[in-house]
Amino acid sequence: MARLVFSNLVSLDGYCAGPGGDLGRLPMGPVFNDHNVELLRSAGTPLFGRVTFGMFQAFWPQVQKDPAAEPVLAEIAALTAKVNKLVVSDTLTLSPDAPWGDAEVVHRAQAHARIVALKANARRDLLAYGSHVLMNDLLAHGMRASRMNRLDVSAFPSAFRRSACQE
Amino acid sequence: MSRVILAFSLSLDGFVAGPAISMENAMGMGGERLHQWMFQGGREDDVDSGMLREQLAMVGAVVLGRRTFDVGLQHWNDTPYPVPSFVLTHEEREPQAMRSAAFTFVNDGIASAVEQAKAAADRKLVVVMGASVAQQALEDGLADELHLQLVPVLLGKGARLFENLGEGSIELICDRAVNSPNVTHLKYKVVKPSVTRGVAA
Repeated sequence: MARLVFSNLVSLDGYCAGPGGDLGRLPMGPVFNDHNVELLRSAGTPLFGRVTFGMFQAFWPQVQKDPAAEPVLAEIAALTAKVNKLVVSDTLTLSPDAPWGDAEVVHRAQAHARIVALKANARRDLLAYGSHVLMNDLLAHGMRASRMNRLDVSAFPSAFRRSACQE
Repeated sequence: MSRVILAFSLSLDGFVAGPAISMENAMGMGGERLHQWMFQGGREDDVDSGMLREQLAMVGAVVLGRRTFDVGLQHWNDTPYPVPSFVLTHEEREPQAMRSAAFTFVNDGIASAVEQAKAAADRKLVVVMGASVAQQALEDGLADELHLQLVPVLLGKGARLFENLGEGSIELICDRAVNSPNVTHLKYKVVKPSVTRGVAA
């Protein structure tokens, strides 16, 4: 059985984004990239909430097309491109021609069952970045039923004081 | 010059105590979990005991809030650390001598309490206790460092350390991160605000 791992970058006071969802202050540097590529190498299905999926979908396919991309970023782009992706959303519709248009979209009501089934059958871990709405939903409903197995929290030394998305 | 330290055991979701703090339950419901690390090591030379001893040896004075004083006194039966302790309160009270040191009651605000504590600390650390007073110290630019034990538990509710801090972010510099099986010991320096975010006059 695979584990479900949530990886999040949070400020010391517990925010995963600044006001208005601003990620500009998050220290996404070389250490962060190395950490992520290591996580991805051993992971299977990436799991997303709608917002994080949108950000990744707009970014990583572009990196993959960029011949001048840093090797570590190119590897992350390649690793994320080749695996099946799962997005939990009630509103997202994906065109098959869109980047990552082959991702599976599952409604919230079915999400828990789908994740449990995936975990039972997968040999490699399910890995989720960001996606704090989904994470909190699973924490509230699933943690004790062992749906989530690992929280990978990188605290960075800054206190936002105010933000859209604490908890 | 004494440095002013906020020293707390913090749940991963940012709480320094559970909900429903009372005289009977000074750490709130489930809040005792946050201090478990102090008793989990069991050996004299384990990381947690070492960190605890180090902290204890460095404390020269304490500033605490009235509520922390009220719920804590019966547990300590003394000052919280064996050093002069300054309680922020609106009530005018005579100093209260305890076994190891005395409580002094300060009526004219946190800056004054911190000033008095620094004078009493003999160049050792001034530790601020109680979430509300700690927030004031951070907001007013009085805090020099954060000494935290990050406890691997999600309490879900309770008293948050980091709130009521006003606008803008506060930059910190990570000084030390020491892992034990029970908690992660973190030390941060507070980057002092420039003139743009000074202490309110």
